[in-house]
Amino acid sequence: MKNKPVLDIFLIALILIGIFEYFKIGRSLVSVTLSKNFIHVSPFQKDAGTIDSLPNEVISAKHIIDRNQLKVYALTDFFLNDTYIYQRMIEFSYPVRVGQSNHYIGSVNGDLARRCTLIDRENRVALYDCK
Amino acid sequence: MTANKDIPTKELVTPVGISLIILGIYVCWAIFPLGQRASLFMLISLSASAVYALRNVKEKFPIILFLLFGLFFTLAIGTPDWDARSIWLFHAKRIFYENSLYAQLDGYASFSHNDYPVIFSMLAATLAKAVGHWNEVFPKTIVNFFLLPPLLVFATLSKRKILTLLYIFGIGIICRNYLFNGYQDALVAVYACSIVLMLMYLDALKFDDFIYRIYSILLLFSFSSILIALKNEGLAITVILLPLALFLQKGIPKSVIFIALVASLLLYFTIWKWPVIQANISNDLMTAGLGNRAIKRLGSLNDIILILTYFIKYCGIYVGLLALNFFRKMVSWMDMRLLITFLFIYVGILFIIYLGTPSNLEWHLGTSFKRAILPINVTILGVILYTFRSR
Repeated sequence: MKNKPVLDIFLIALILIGIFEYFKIGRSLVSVTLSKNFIHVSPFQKDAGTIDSLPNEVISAKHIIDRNQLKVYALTDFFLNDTYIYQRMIEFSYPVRVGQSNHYIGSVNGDLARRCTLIDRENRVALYDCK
Repeated sequence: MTANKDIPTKELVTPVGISLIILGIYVCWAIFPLGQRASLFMLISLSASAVYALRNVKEKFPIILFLLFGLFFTLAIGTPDWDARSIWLFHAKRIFYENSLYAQLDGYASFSHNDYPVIFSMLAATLAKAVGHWNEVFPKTIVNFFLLPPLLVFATLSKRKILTLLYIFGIGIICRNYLFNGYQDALVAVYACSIVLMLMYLDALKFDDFIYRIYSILLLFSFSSILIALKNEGLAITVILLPLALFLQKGIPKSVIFIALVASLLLYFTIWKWPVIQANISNDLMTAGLGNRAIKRLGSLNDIILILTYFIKYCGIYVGLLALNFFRKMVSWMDMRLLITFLFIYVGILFIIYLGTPSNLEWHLGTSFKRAILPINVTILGVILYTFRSR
């Protein structure tokens, strides 16, 4: 029993460390998001978390896909050569799939700009028809 | 053997119940697609059982605080993390849009590891079905339902709130972001720890009652089945732990462990593995030549030192803590035999997998080691805290 005050102080210290660690976890979870912030809308809103989770190119590409009601599209090297952008593109655009198509999504400055017809663009991303 | 009546039987019914509801939803998805109403009904049942399990606020306040933290951070931030997006929540999105548990078996987007099990993705898709649409925030909040049963098991078996609080702080320090960022590794770790604790608890129980046997089978079956269906590591942990318990935990009737093991493996093979084999989808690590690569790397001292460095860096402190407990005679070999044997076998398997990796070893270690080792660290923490329950 004579060790009880020491034990209490030890436990209080452990609890404080634990609370501090969870504070750090919360801060770290927020810091890895692209906006480095909490979402500003209801978590159940349809587009919630998009700007916090995905790079601008992918969001622009998804807007283009939706506007043009594509069912399937192809990607240019601009997306294919960057694993991060490529994977984000495939999962975010789903259920629209990447596959064999005349419709290519790529950079506005890519070589498709010379060979194909520009259909739509948003920021640095463009949709081309390459028949 | 005589039945010990002083056991927290009733309290353990709730985690088993919640686990069985999760497994029930999983089985339903395997048979037919769930619509919005059915998904809503399933999630209300799950939420009601979770609220019932936490009704004793004074006793369960560490778990309640932890889950409130989890709910807040899974609902208040986006989902940017790589595996969460490319694997687990992408599979959930596919289940949601295709109305099928087996959506990923068409082989599309092979980077998402289409052979990986889907119980987490399935429940995230169920939530999206209930809400009516998909977005980049709320599906990952489903992790809180998965975290609840193992925490309830620890709280019940450890009997003391302070130990539960320390366990929760401990898993925070060990698992960090992986608890709430949509990854599965922290879930695998807490489920592995729960199964070890259950096996230690049942071993000390010495029962001979038919009801306790059924109850123990359900306890082991429900947790093992979820663990297997979370991630491939879960299958490895289950097929190490339960057969080990057959030999080491003499207080548990062999039939209990055997039935729980066979039933959980049967469920896994019937619902997931057999359809994966039929779809001809293979695991990226199990490519031909794993053995050859492992043998080749065994000859490279640099590779071995590199792997050992990671082991020391990421689990040295927890193994040291365990050794310290032995040194201070705070725990005995009888208490720890299951944990230590499991630890050696699991570490050995990880060692072979890293030796045989088809990827660049340094890259593979750097991207996965601190997650792969979580079951070891969390289980050591849980077992050490558990041994303090009667002090």
